[in-house]
Amino acid sequence: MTTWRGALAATTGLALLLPAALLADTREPCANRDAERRPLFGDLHVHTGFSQDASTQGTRSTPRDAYRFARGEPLGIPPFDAAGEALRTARLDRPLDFAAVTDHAEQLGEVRVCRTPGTPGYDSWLCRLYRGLPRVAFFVMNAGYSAGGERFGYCGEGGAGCLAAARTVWQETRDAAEGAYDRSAACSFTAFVAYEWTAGVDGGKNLHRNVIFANEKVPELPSSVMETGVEAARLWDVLEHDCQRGLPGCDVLTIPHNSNLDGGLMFQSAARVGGEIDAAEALLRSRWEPLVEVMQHKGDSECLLSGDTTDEACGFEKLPYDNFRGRYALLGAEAPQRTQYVREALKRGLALEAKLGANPFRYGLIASTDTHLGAAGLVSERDFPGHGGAGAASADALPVGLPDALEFGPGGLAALWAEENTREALFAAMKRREAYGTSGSRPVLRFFGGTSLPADLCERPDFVTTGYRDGVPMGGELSGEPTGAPLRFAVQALQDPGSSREPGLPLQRIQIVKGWLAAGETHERVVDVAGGPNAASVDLATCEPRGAGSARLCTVWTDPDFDPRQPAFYYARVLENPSCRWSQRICAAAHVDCARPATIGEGLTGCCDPLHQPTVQERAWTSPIWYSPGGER
Amino acid sequence: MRRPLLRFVLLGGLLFVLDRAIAPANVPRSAATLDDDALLVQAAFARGLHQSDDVVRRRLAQNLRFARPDEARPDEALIEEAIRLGMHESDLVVRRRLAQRMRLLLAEPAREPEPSEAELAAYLAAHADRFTEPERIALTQLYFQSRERAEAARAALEAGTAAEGSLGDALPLPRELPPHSRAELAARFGPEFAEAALRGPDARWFGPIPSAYGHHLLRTRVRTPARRSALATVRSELREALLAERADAAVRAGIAALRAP
Repeated sequence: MTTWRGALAATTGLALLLPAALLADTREPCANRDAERRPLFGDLHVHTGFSQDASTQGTRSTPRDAYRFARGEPLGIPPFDAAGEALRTARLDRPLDFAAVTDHAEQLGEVRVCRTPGTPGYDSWLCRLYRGLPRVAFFVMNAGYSAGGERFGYCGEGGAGCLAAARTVWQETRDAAEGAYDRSAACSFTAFVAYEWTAGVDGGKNLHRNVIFANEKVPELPSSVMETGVEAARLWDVLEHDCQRGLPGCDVLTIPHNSNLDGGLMFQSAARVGGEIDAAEALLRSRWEPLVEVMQHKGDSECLLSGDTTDEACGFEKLPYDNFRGRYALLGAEAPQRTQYVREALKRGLALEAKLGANPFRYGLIASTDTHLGAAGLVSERDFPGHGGAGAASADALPVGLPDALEFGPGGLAALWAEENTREALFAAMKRREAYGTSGSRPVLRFFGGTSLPADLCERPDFVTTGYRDGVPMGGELSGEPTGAPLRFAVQALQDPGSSREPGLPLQRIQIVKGWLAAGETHERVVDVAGGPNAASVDLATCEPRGAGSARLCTVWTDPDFDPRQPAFYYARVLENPSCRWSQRICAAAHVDCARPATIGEGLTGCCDPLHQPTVQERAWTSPIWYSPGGER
Repeated sequence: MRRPLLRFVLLGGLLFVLDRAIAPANVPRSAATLDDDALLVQAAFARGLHQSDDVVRRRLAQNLRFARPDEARPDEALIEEAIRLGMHESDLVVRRRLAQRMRLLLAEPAREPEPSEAELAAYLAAHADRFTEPERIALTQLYFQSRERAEAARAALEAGTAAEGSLGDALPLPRELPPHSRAELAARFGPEFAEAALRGPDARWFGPIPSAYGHHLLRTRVRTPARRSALATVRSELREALLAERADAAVRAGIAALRAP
């Protein structure tokens, strides 16, 4: 009887494998393809209730909920009442164009018993079936369960049955991405299959990476730190084996984040924690990591006001500690160091390239949220509900006062320049780094560099066509020009048009950040190239913006100090007029007056914390354009 | 070790929380009075999930290692001890994980059989609002920084004294826009612009229409009315939506069955 039932189940299971395979990689051509590319806005860092640090804070959303939210549907967020109804709801004013749910791999379904030779149960028939035909194994096991739970001893020999079932968490993630991806000609939304690889050292030094797959062809299981250890180089080995070499059509990249919490380790060797980077690793790293997440819920990682960095705009969303243990003051942490920040990594990359022949830190820039509510792209400073993870908890009751730790915020967005909203076009944009990050708003930002760009480009209607024809876009590379022609950059920004509920803010200025290598030493300079300091401000009592700015800024800037012998990078940063930070919006609505302690209500002491920054200047950072002398590329 | 006082305080806190959490569990309660999560956790225990789930096992071992930093025994032994101490019943992380695992287990059988064509078609018909392709217009847009320049350009276009290609200020957006929906126009130019553009006539110049950036002359090249999505183009979305609905129903039914076996 048992055998018969198993055989029937196996046959049915086999038949079920077919339709999913037929679905793969078929889609209609997009009706709105744009040969000169358009910026698509998304979130590449999203946690749901499948991440334990989210579910323990009361988050119940699934990847499916997160994608629906990204597409504009409402989402219930904690706390929940006894009947399971959410006491708060969030909804995006403007849907996102794309998203990747990146739950922690460590919780997505390890099947170590069935995958690790030598562990008890590895040789059980169910594990053998699982390795061969995982879906059938589940079906067989489930048939046993339906028959009363005793026949196979529900967890099977060595617990293999229950472990095999754990696979459904990863499968659920993949199915959710498949269901949210718009394969029709409307091309309205792209969902990526992804996870977060959560490596940490010394209990709080963050080496985390988001692993983003190009399409639905992904390994059977995610690779967690449990299998790889904390060296990212091992993760790349495994991904190369399981995906790029092992699975036809599979491609993948990794995006490091929160170097501001790395305790100084992120931009050191990924093959030996704390060690030096060698030539092989430099090459490997530039191939695997085209992008870095420069800003998110847990602060900004662009630059730190210290050493030769005198750029005042670096004083933006800074965490006061250098690793995650700093969050829990009792255990202590150091003050942040400059080497933790992306600008320093970009500079060191030039020096390492001169020494090793490859630049390990050729990073394009994006931002994302790291939401732990499943609320992809919920970046507004208005009505910030807290982020549901490491900050203040709201698992059991509505938060009173400030809904999150003062130093945290809603995070930012990733913008990708793509011809159309498909996985292929977006993944290609990530790989060529034609990307920019924003602290939450959606400005349009073009950036071209080259020696042949016309000086009057801003006055010409064919700005984009000429930019691509005569220069390279953000993320591109220029090599030695023996002609001695001046190096020019054309940069144009349009303000975020905003939504009816939340109009966009005007732009204040465009800056170009240059880093270069001269006689073995790295240097940096920040230049205002369009717009500049203005009289704009914000009324801290009402949060109404005051003063004018620009809807559009455009300039062609020639680097007066360009030396064709010096390797350099250039990226553009756009600052909006000042606005109220999320915390100040709450403080102002509660009429907190720090001079009158009676007005400081429950949960609002943060309003009067000396570290509280009531205003922010929302911003965007382009990927750099690199110049290397000698035309070795 | 290095901070014995801190460890003492933290452990004291942990024990207090454990004690508070365990106390109610000692009172036998019938399935009817448990909330869904507690019911699911109970069911997970009955199926031995707390012994087999890797995340739970890691958590239990970590708990004991935190309490005893010099512990040298392997994880297996620690997990056994943690379970003997009842830690799996009281730890919040373990309980949430087990409830989640049970929900997924209850949902899994609902994935089969594969939805039929008839089921997909019925689902599409029942959710036509969610599977509709919006009206789209393909615009040619000329951008001007001032309204006066835009008006002068429109007069020149209508008089035939200027070629379209010679007009307009630079904007990093295409002149020949591919077909856009209202939402896509609003995202790029602002909501008022989207509204005005969709209301405009076909095949001739209109405007200037203000946007977040300035003023635009517009001409609608192609207009595609809203239409129901064809099953073939939204098959994978339909399939997942239908399976998700089935899964939700299976979880609800599973919980009801656990409540009244």
